[in-house]
Order: sequence, then C-alpha cells, then structure tokens
Amino acid sequence: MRRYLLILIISASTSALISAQSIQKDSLLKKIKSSTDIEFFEEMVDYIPLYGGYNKFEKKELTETIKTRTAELNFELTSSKFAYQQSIENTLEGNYTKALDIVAHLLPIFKKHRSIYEVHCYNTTGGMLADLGDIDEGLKNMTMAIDLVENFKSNTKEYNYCVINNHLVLGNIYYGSDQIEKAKLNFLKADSIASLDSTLIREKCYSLLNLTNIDLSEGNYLESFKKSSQVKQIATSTKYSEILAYSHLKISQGYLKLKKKDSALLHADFAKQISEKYGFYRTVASAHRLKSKIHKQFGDFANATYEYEKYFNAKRAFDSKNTNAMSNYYTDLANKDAQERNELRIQQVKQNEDARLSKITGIVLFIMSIGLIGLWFWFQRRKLREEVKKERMDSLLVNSQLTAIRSQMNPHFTFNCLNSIQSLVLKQDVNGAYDYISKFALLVRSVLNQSNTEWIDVEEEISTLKLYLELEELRFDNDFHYHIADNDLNGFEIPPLIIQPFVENAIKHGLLHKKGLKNLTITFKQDEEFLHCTIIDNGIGRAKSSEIQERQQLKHMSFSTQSTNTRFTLMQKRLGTDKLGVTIEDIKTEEGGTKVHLTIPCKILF
Amino acid sequence: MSNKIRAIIIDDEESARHILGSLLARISHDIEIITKCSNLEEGVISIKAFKPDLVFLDIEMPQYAGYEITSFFDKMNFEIIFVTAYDHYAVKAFEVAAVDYILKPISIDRLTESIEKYKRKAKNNVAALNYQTMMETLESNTISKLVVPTIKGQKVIFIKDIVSIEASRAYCTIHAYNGESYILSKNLKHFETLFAENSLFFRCHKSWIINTQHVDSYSKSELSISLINGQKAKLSKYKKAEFEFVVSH
Repeated sequence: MRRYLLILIISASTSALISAQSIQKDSLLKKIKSSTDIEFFEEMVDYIPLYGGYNKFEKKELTETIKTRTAELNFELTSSKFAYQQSIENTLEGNYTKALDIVAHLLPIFKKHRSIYEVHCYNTTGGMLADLGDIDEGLKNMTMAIDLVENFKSNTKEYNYCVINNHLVLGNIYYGSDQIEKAKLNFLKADSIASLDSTLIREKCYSLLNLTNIDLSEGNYLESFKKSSQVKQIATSTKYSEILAYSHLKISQGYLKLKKKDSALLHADFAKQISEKYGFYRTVASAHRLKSKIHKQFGDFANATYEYEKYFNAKRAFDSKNTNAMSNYYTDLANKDAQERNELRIQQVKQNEDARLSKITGIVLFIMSIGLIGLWFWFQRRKLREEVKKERMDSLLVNSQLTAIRSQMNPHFTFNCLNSIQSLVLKQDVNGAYDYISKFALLVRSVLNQSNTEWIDVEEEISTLKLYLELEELRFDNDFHYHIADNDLNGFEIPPLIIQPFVENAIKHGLLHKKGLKNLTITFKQDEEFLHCTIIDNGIGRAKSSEIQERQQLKHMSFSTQSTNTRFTLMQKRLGTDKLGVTIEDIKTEEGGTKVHLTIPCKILF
Repeated sequence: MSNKIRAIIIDDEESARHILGSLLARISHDIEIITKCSNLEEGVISIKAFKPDLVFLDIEMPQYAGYEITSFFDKMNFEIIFVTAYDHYAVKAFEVAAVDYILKPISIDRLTESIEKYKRKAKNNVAALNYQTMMETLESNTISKLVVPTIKGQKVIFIKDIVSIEASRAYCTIHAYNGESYILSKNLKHFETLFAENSLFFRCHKSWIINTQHVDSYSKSELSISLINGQKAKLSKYKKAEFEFVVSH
C-alpha cells in the first residue's frame, strides 16, 4: 500500500475579505467581547482563518473567544462555524478523535440551519476516516458531501469552495489507495477551479501541493519544484504555516530525487521546525520519515535508523491519540442507527404485536454489528502496524546486509596482501615490500571510503580495481598481464567493490594454476541503465579448476563469490529488476579460459 | 659548497622521521637531511638556525599543528612539503593554494614526484602567496581563492570570478571573468570535489563546470548554456532539470 500522506483540507469559507485589514489582535478581541452585531461575527468567520496578519496561536485565541461570545448571544449557527474552525485546528494538529467528535456534534446543527457547512463536515470526516485507514467509510462520507453540495449551487463562491475541497479530499483518498490517475484528475479539477478566484488562494496551494506528489511519482522533478516553490512563496507572504511546512516537505522530496543531500535535509528540517512550532504533529512525523529516507539514500544508516525511530515514535503518538477515533465514530453511527430503529420500533409496536421479536433481532444485530465492526477494526489496525514494522525491518535488513557484505570483503583482501608482504620481506626486497605496503594502504583507504556508500563514481571504482591488480601483479613473476579497457568510462556511478571479487576469482581459480603467460582482460560497455563488464582470463577453465579444488578438497564456495551473489540478489530485490547478475561461460578456443559477464546497475550523472 | 638540497624533517613520531629519512636517502642522493625535529617549536628554532631549502612538515602534532608554521616567520625562505595521515580539510587548503603535500603512508613514487616538483620550481619567492592563501583558507574555513599557474609564475584568483572550467583530456582550462584563462593539469572531478560546498558552481556536463552567477542565457533545444564571456557550455540531458532549478533560485 502506498504510504498515506493526506494533505488535510481546511474548510473555511471564503467570501470577500472585510475592510478591517489591519485590526490589531487585542483591539479585535475587545470588539468581539463587546459587540452584539451578528453581521460583524459572520464577517469574522472568513476573516480570521484567512487573514495573514495573525499567527496560528492568535487565530486560535480569537476563534475560541468568538465561539464563546456568539454562544452567549445565542447565535447558534455562527458559534457553530467557529466550533467547526476548532475542529480544523484539531485536524491539523493530528487530534482526529477530538476533531471527529466536534464535527459529529455540529452536523445536526448545520443540517437544521440548512447551512453549506454540512458539506464541510462530511468532507473533513471523509478525509480523516480515510487517513485513519478506512477508505470505504471515507468515500461514503465524500459521496454525501458531493451529493449535498449541489443544493448550494446558487452561492457560486461557497459552492466552488466546497467542490474544490471535495476534489482535494477525494484525490487524496485515491492517491492513498494507489489510484494515481483518478487522484491526478481530481487534483487538476481542484486546481482549475481554484485558479478562477483569487480569494481561493489557499485551496490553490493545496491543489498545487497535491499535484507535486503526482509530479514526484512521475519523475517531473522540475515541475514539482516549480509548484512547491510557488506555494512556499504564497505561504510565506500569507503566513499559512501548515502550507509552508508542507511546501518545505515537498521541496525536500524534490531535492532528494536530485540527490542533493544537504538541501533535502535543510528543507526537511524547515518543515520539521515549522510543524513543531505550530504543533502539526502529523507533519513532524512526515518530516522525520523523509529525513530517514534521505539518510538511507546517502548510506548514512545510523542517522537513518535514528530518524526512523523518531518517525516511528511520532507515528505511534498519533496512533495512540486516535485509537478511539474510529471506534467513537462507529459507536456514533451505531447510536444513530439504534435511534432510528427505536423510532421505527415504536411505530411497529403500535401496529404489530410481533414487535417484540424485531426488538430482540434489532438488539442482537446491533451488538453483533458493533462486535464485528470492532473486530474488523482491530484487525485492520494490527495489519497496518505490522506492515509498518515489516517495511522498516525490510529496509534495515537490506541495508545492513549490504553494509555487512561490503565490510566482510576487507579481511579477505587483507590476508592475501599480508602474505605477499611477508614473502617480500623474506626475499629482502626492501623497495618491493615498502611499495607493496604503500599500495596496500592506498587500497585500504579507498575500500574504507567506499564501504559506507551505496554508489560510487565509476572512475574511483576502476582505480581501486587497478590498485588491487597492481598488488596481485607483484605476486606473480612478471608473467601476469592485465588490461582494463576503461576509455571514456566516466560520468556515472555503480555499487562499490562489485567487480573485484570476480577478478579475484579469475586469478585464484583460473590464472594461478596456469603455466606460462597469464592474461586478464576487463572490458566495459555502458547503456542507459546498466554497465556491462566482461572479465576474460586465459586460465585453466572451470572444469579443471573444480577438479583441482576437489582433489585438494576445497569444495566450499569462495567467500567473496558467495557474498557477491547474495548482493546481486539483494540489489535485484531493491531495484526491482531481474536483469542484473552474473553469467559465466567457458571459452572454447584452443587457449581456453573463462569469460564472466556482469550486468551492474548504474546511475548516470551527466 | 655542495649543491645538495638541505632539508629538515619535523614529525612528532620517531618511526615517521626514520621512514622519511630512509626513503629520501634511497630515492635521491642530492638531499641532505640536516636535522630531524619532534615538534614545531623545535623545528622553527632549527629552521632559523640552519636555513634549510626544504622542510618536510607533519600536520598532526601535539600543541602546534604543522600549518601553524606561517605564524612564526615574516618571510619564509624555504619550501614546505606537508605530510599528513588523513585526507581532511587541510588537504583542500593545500590544493587551492598549490602547496605540495604527501599522504601517509608515503609512497615512493609520490615522494619522488614531490622532490622532482621541488627541483623544477623556480625559486622566485612566490611561495609567500601560496602559504598566505593556504592560511586564509584554513582560517576562514571556506574556499574563496585559488592559486593558478600563469606564464610568469603564479597568481591568486577569487573563485567567484571563475566563469567556467572546461575539461580537455588530462587538463582543465579555467576561464575567468576578466577574460584570462589558466590551464591546470587536473581533471574536472578535482574541482568538483574542491568546490563541492560552494553552491555557485554547477557541473553541467562531462566536460564543463559553470558558475551559475555568470550564466547569460540557456537554449533548451540545443542543450547549451551561454555564459557572459561569450562561451557556450554544453548541458547534459541528465542535468537539465537540476540546472533549470538551480538558475531559477
């Protein structure tokens, strides 16, 4: 399942901004506490959430004050609109339980007043339910919202606003359930409607941010940058902090795709800081998750694990805060259901003596449905949690295995080299021994540098390989020749230390046993996705080699070949392609020998 | 008077002093080790007393790091070859300042190369410029200047004035804002690594690094970037999106 990042939609209606553009918070508070003018309070409904002059905390204070004041004055609808605003605040902070509670309480009030806010209620409920994992129930609420909004066509502005939000939430639900095309369609519709009216700037931002997700998944990084930067600018000037945080998150994702570690981390940090400051805990979790991903991609597994822990904790905090959200929602539904049944029953009792039976059936069904829903819900949560755990384990496992394999190769080199040095010392070849040690040190230095990274510049890899061959060359008596055709091989990266084990094999099993001239040729061919490397030796060939091994009772598979095979399998899994790998063939000419063909993944730089 | 190169070795480790001394004796007969010192203060006293031609100076020493030597002299009438065990930031400072250095464990080839380089070098006191650039780079912790070779000797340029660096085979040409150009026998990867932390520079192609501040225009269809000095740099299709992003911000 695609990871679910629902961009929460704020439903706050947008009519013309009132003239009181620059009212200070304190004087506005005073006015609120003294006014009895319903017109003024109604104006405030749009003004407070949209005005960029107040930060989030000031807006919260104003909303609470007006809600209380209008309730005192018995302006039920107006007060409910502010209560609704508070549910939005809770949604943004990740308190879905509370937000859903408020909305459930408000819904009948808006219905009574035939207010378009009823659409808002279904819309946010749908979004939250889907985010909590119940896609079906989310879609059900969205259907309500979509049907209902058609009753409000006469007020174009409010209507457009609701339609946009419906598209956004619907798009998110589709995006979360991997129906990218449907999601894109909805986001595009939202965007086109939002572009019609400059007061719908916030909705425009949300549309753009959602489209960024699509761009990123389609590889249009430039487009995603354009959009997220545009949103960032708007958010900065309007002080929409939640939008600002999201835009940083998106910019960071773009940078990650472009492999700019520092910039990606910087923007992820911005997103984290902003969301922490304003208490958008869901976004804090997302930022940690992204940071973990960034570190992982650049081979910094320690930090990746650290960030993942943080993400996991944040996610857990969110989950635990909202454990009751779904069950409350269902209890609510069930209560309503029961209420309706009750009414029906009373009628039936009046008409029919058999009502008793239906009552019992009703209760049994009610209890059973509660039980079933509860059970299903519990399974769903457990599944989700296991999925998260499994995914985390998977990625850690793969990473640690790759790291382990890379570091295990070092001792293998080391012992061979130390042997050679000992022999040079015994031969009293001072220059030779010294030279060998310095080359060996260089090799260790580059292997150490490489063992931490997942990808390495091909030129660096080849120079390490050459160094290795120079060391091997010293072990033979001038009858070993190697040739590496590495002309024009640059501008891309490959996984480190992947060719060397096969070269080592060619020497150990093929050339070492051969009498006379020993030749080793390594050639390369590169295409868009892969580097094809061919290693040809004129050694004794596989059949003879295994004969010798058998005779010497060295049946075990060489360590580095085994680990490299494992590595190829892991890489296949990770990159999702089965084209990678090794093929070995015997050369059937008179001279004989072995030909190894490697298909290695490559990342083109320029 | 002999024509031998008179050298001093400064290193806090006895074995390191021994190795370097023995190697020098093996590879060259025209180097005379006057003395070996185990810390910088001792080294400074010896330099003032013996006036050597060449000093092999370890960087990682207790109390004073090797490169702090510049603060002990108004005028340095000797050349330094730095010796270091780590490939750390100081190495970048040596690179930009064109100050010679050797990594430990010392390879015979590398040491021979350094000695040859020393012998070839004209002794016209341009060394001061190198050490000054090196210290500025180390102290400010940012790379802002680069020592480049010219026909007359050497010159310090500001890296912000570099318009582009173009690779051709084993060397690179640096094109500066004032129209001058300098040829260095380094590859582009060298500069890419050196300027990695500087956001001005962008590797747009296999054989081009450009300064994004000096971009004039850009042709999407031709995949080429016109620079303010009239040059046209190529743009790799793999770098197109990144380039568009970099210049738009």
